[in-house]
Order: sequence, then structure tokens, then C-alpha cells
Amino acid sequence: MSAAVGTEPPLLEVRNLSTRFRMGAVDMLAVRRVDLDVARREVLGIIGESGSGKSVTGLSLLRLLPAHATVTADHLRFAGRELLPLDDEAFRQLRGTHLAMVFQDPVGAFNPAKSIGWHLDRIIARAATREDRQGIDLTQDAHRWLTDVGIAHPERILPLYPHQLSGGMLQRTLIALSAALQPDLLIADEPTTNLDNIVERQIIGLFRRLKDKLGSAIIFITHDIALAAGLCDRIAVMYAGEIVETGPADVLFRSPAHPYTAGLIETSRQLDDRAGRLKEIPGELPSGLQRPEGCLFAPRCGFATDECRAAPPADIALAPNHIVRCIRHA
Amino acid sequence: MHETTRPLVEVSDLVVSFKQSGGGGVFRAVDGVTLAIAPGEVVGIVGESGSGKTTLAKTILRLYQPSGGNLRFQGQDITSLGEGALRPIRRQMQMVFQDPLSSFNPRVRIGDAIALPLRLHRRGNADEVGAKVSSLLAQVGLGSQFIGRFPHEMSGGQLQRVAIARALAVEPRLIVADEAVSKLDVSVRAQILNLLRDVQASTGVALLFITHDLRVARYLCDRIGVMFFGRLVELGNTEDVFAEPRHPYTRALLSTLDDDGGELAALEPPAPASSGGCRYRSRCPIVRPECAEHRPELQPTADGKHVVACPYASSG
Repeated sequence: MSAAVGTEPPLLEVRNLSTRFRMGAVDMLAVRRVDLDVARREVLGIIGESGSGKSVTGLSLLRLLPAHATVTADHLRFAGRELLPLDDEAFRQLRGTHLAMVFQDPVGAFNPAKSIGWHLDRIIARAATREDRQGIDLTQDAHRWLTDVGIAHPERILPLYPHQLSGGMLQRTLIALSAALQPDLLIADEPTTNLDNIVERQIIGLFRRLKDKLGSAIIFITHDIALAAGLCDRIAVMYAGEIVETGPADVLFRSPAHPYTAGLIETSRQLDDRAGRLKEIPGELPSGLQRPEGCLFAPRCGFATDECRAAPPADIALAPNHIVRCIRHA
Repeated sequence: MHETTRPLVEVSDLVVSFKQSGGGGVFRAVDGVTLAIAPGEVVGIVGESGSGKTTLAKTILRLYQPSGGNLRFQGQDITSLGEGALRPIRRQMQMVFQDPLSSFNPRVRIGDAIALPLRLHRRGNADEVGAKVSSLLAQVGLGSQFIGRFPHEMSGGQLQRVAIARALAVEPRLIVADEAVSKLDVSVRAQILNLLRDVQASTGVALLFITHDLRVARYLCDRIGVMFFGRLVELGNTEDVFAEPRHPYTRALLSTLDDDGGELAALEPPAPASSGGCRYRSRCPIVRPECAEHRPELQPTADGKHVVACPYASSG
């Protein structure tokens, strides 16, 4: 599912990524056959419902999964370097400098017993280990990021503890601190899901500006396809651990090829019509342990035929950068 | 509104305060709310987290004790009714929570979870209860095979259906749904919203729907109330509020429905409650000096279509 943007090689190149969790005697396959490319300065949206594997994909990339998880891939290349063979120490050098992640729950990302200023100092110390950041006033830089996310007087929040900030303020602070690391790749996992509508819109606006100012690549993980369409350059839709469709955000939103993508877009739009009865996607996601033989979406799909249920569908390129895993397009 | 029928729920100048840990101060989660819900009406309360919407809902159910104001249910004053006297009233009001898994006892099978309120309120013998459980499950689109299942053996969507069946079991007049679809996946959310509409239409139960999701509120509710830090700042028919929001906070909230991303304004904390005046004034684009002096009360708009707690609010 490659979709190179421009001519330079992608910053992140993932081929055939699978992640398993050992559950007693059986393996649960959480992510399977995932290919991803992210170019520099690109925002890739990964869309999926709970259980789709979207968060596990992000955590797999950053090696943040617990010990009973196994990540395999043909390639997991970041800035031309294979990540899987790296030992944990070498990987730690990358994480928090070149690679960073923002989570759904900002509270969990902070040490509750330490002030915001303490966290800021740690971030600055971390950023100072990078050769390309020598000679920069990192404190000033971090303050600038805090101002940038709408915290008018950063010095006022530095003595405060995480619980003294609202969820929105804390998430802004976390994003500012992540930006201060100047990561090459920032993975944001549902960073607005726990926030109110007003704050959510502000955070999305913030990511838009971050993308331009930071020059980083961003992977934005969300369940909200409409939200992603407004922010992302490209979108990958995950279902039950697999990417079922990937393409430019506008193309995908305008003319979705996979019935699941079409259903997601429909369900996000239809609430605008008060009078109508909502169209449902019947059924629910299959569990990681009981997967259908053929197409994963077939049990819920209005177009499914015996052929769909017989064997897993192959990827079909509708355009060089628009790929769908559905035999209707074969 | 329904002028001929007596409201099912009448809330007037309701105050709910909590002692603050440590300092000994008092925090007013609900700070003078007046609201009526007619029988069979679907009323939505929207607002940010911390706006007091859940506290308001739980106080209407008398899960919290009001600190001030008055609360009536079917005309009866229940503001300070004791637990014993509340019991027959509790049957008439049920709740559906955000997280279906945590609202079920993990060791109680689904059939028993639905039967429990029937037994508690002595609704029929064992056979009748069994038949009622099956018909309730059917009403929410689940087969009898789920009766013997445990909560963890069911998906979030299925469990939320069971929660609705359990709420319907005692044929309540009011169901309070607190973020009942917020945790569900988008593809499942439509199923539950359709179910809530069906159930509401077939049983005539009134619904108080608490949500931060404006689209969901607009889809489901007859009337919408907008809360900001313990106060209702606007209340009216859903179409009117969405078509012509008056309060500057409602307008800010509704502007998030546009897909252009919105501006990154600094989010000022609300003006302190102790300072008097309008608590929205610290963020308000049309703030005036007078806003610090008088706490605005809900007043009818010029066209009389809804009520708004801002003397300077205008349309357009």
C-alpha cells in the first residue's frame, strides 16, 4: 500500500507489519498485513473504531507495547534505518527525540507528583542530547511553543501540577512539549477524544499549524473520519487489524471505495438530517480471536458475496495512491 | 411547549454544591438552574465537561441532595424526600450511563440484571418476570440467547442495549441518558440512537439526554439546554437554538460544527463564581463592564422562541 508523495523516499516505510498478543495458549492478531508510508511534512490519518488496531499500530511503531506483544514486519524503516533490529537502548535514543507520541489522556502522560516546569526541564534535557539542536536556547524555544498553543503566560503554569490544569490546557501543554522535542515523526493517538468541542477544534487547528511550522511528519490516529478529513493529507482506514483503504483525504472522503469507509462517512454525516432514520452499519467488529475466513468486513457488508467470504481480498490500486482491499474493484 | 399538561419534571433555581477537599470552600456544580420537562419530551443538555450537566441529571434523579431550590416530579415535591418515600418515585425514573460495562455487575448474568429491578419493585411472579425479560430483550433487538451471558461476553453496543432494556423494565416515565452513546463506536452509535428514538416513540417515556456531542443532541432532542459552569445560558427548541443561537457561548459552541477548524483562542478560565456577574465574561467577545455586576438570568428572546441568559445577546 505504498503511496509516495514527491520523489524523496518516505520518512517512514512500513511493510507487512503484524502485531500479536499472547493470550494464554493462543495468539491474538491485533494488526496484520499493514503497509504504511509517511513522507516528511505529511499528515497521515489512521482511522478506525475501537479494536481496529489503530492504536496498536502506533504503539508498535514506537515499541511501546507490553512484553507479551510480538511485532513483526518485512520493513520498518525510519529515515532509511531499519528499526526492528535496534536494541532497546538504541531505540530509546530515538524515542523522545526523533520519534514522539501524544496520547488520548494527557493526565497519564504527566507525573502527577511533579510540576509542569519539571516536565519542561526533562524535555529540554532530552532535546539537548540531539546534535542538530546544539546552540539553540531550548528553554526559550519551549516557551515559544507553549505560547503558540495558546498558553499566553507559560511562566504561570510552570509551578502548577498537572491536576491544576484543565484537560484542554494539559493536552495543549503536552503537545507543546512534544513539539519542543522537534521530532521527525509525531504520532498523536486520539489527542482530542476526551476534550470538548471547542477545545477539540482548537487542537485540530494547532496540529495544522504544527505541521507547517514543525516540518515533522504526523500520524494522526482517530475514530472520527470527518475530523481527519479536515486535517490529514492522506487517510488509511483500518478495520479489524487491517488497512482496508488508503488514499488522499479529499479523494477518500469524496469517493470512498471500500463499503466500510463509505459507511463511516455516511454515519458521520447523517446526524445532520434530523428527520431521517439513521442508516446503520449492522453488527459489530469481529474480535481478535474469531476472525472471518475471507474479507473481514463481509459479515457486515451489504455487498458481500460467497466469493468475499471465501478468501481474504487482495489490495487493488484504483490510482497509484488510492488502494482498496475489496474484490468489488477487481 | 406542552402548556396543557403538567410538566413531568420541574426544576426551579436548583443549586447543588459540594464541599471542596482541603480548603473547606464550597463548589457550586449546579448554580441556579430552572428547567421543565414535559411528559414524553426529549430534552438535551449540552456543555463542556465540568459544566455541571451530569450533576444536574443525577440531582433530578435525587442521587444527589439539592442544596437549594426546588425539584418536583409529577407535581410532587421531592427536593428533600427521604429514601423510603423516594422508592416508588425511583421506579418512574431510570438512568443509562456512558460506560455500559461498568454499569453492570460483572458476576450477574444479563437476564438477572434485567430482572433485578422487576423483582425489587415486585413486578410479577417468576414466570412473568422471565417472560418480561425476554420481551424487553426483543424490544432492544437482542435474542433470548443473551439471557445467560455475562457482561464481559458482550460487546459495548449489545451492553448498551441491555442497559436500555433494564431501564425500560419498570416502565419509567423518565429516562436520563448520560453520554449514553459517547463511548460507542461510530458504526454502533447509529444503532443505539435509532433504538432510543424507537423506544421513546413506542413507550412515550421522557428522555433527558446529557451529551457533549452537539450533532447527537440536535438529532435526538426536541429541546436543548446549554450549560456553562453550573448555569443554563440558553434553552429552546432544538431548531431555534441551532438556527439562531443567541448566547455568545452557544455561538462559540455551535461554531465548532463548521469544518474550518476554528480559531486558536486562549481559553480563559471562567470568571470566579464569588465575583458575581456573568461567569462567561472572561471569554466573551461582547463583554461590557456591566457584565461583572449582574448575574444574567434566563430571559425570553425578542421573538419569544427561546430563553437566553445574556441581556446583550442578539441574533445574526
